[in-house]
Amino acid sequence: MRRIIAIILLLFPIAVHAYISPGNPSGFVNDFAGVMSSASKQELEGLLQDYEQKTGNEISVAIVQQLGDETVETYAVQLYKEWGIGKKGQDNGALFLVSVTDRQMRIETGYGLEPDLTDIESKRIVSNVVPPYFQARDWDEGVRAAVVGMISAIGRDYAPSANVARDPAVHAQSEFNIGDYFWLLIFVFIWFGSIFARSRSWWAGGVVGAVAGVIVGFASGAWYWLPVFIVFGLVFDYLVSTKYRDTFIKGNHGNIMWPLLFLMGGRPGRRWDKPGGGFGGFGGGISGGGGASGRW
Amino acid sequence: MPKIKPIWIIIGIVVLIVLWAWSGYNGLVSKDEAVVSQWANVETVYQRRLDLIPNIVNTVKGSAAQDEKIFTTLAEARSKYAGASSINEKAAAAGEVESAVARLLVIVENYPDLKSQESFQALIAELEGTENRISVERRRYNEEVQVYNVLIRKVPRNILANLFGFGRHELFEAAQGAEDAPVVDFEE
Repeated sequence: MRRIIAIILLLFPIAVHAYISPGNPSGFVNDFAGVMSSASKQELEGLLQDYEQKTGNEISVAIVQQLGDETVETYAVQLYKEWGIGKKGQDNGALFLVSVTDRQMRIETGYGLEPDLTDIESKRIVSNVVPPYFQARDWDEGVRAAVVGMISAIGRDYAPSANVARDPAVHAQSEFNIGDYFWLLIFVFIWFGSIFARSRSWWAGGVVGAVAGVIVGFASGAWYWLPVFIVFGLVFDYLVSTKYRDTFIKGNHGNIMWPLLFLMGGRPGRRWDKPGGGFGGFGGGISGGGGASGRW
Repeated sequence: MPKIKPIWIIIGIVVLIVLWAWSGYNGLVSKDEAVVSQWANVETVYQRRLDLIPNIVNTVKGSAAQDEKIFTTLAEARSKYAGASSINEKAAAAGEVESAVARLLVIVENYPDLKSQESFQALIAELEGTENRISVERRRYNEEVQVYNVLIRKVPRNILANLFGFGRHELFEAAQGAEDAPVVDFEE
């Protein structure tokens, strides 16, 4: 038995991608290693928030305990992509990554900021400005110096006019959120439910499911939705066909209504299809390896 | 239950197949284009490195004039890249540029006065950033190629791929000795 398990385990290739995400960002300043004081973290957070509102540029700080098997360059580019720093399409972001045990840091620049925060300016920050602070284990001042250095490097030749997206709703709208169509879905659901329930047939739901599956499959290119929709339609039709009689003819209302009431009673103001919290996440920007790395 | 005429069933099946082929074909086209445009990104960063080389050569030449051979090697590698047309040729030529740059950097090690020049350090920072960009874009190219190659081989889309002649894209394999960006490290 044990041998069989061992063979099965051998068949599954162990993931060689060593990048392990430190987690989701909780703001512009993310101290996963817990080395910064909360006062200066808050101060920097406020500074970067304000900077984002004024210029649209998103500068983020990530302090991790260690990089694992990755180099600081590969770690930075993957973390950058995961968080999506900068606005989508403008890529006007930058990441200051610090790994405490590896004694390495990197400024990773989004595509859009490459002309403003040049590699040479980044190099100067990570090899001249910050190391003295980190050598003295003064994390607060070191990170602060890096952030200020980045902002002033960008500011030197940055004209905050054209590419400013002040309203966070503007770029939130560009994505399709199923939550926006929630009430439409509920309506369609109830509507079909009443039709199916009144019809005696059990197969009409499957036909409608097939049609919906074809539409969805065509729209998304994912054809596995087709059988899913057919089965769902059949089950749905079967359920309402039997329950409808129970509920509305025999007067047993509580049975079918409570799940709908549960769905309708969602807390207002909170999007059920989006993670909550004060920080809305970054804008979906991407970087291409620009920037500079340094040690201390 | 009313009887459904067989003709409608056949029409239904035909419509389904046409819809499937349509969206499947479009999916192949967009993945194929993703590979092509990612290769364009790779070429952009290759070009960035080529543009940088004359600056480095000019800075180095003054101090390291006796190591003349490396400059001709670099020039040859550059013109070879300029003359390359296919992806494989370009990748090979870029590999030669890469190893020539690496050798140049080794030579520079012998000239401490050069290394301490601020203008040279700036160029090296620029070169480091460029090499890192190249490795990032190359990795992304390979990722796109992999997505595409898996797509065209999977059942049932492989039928479409064969029908419309979607061939495999080659993964980028770095030339010998050029798997990693040349190490630029002056902080001994």
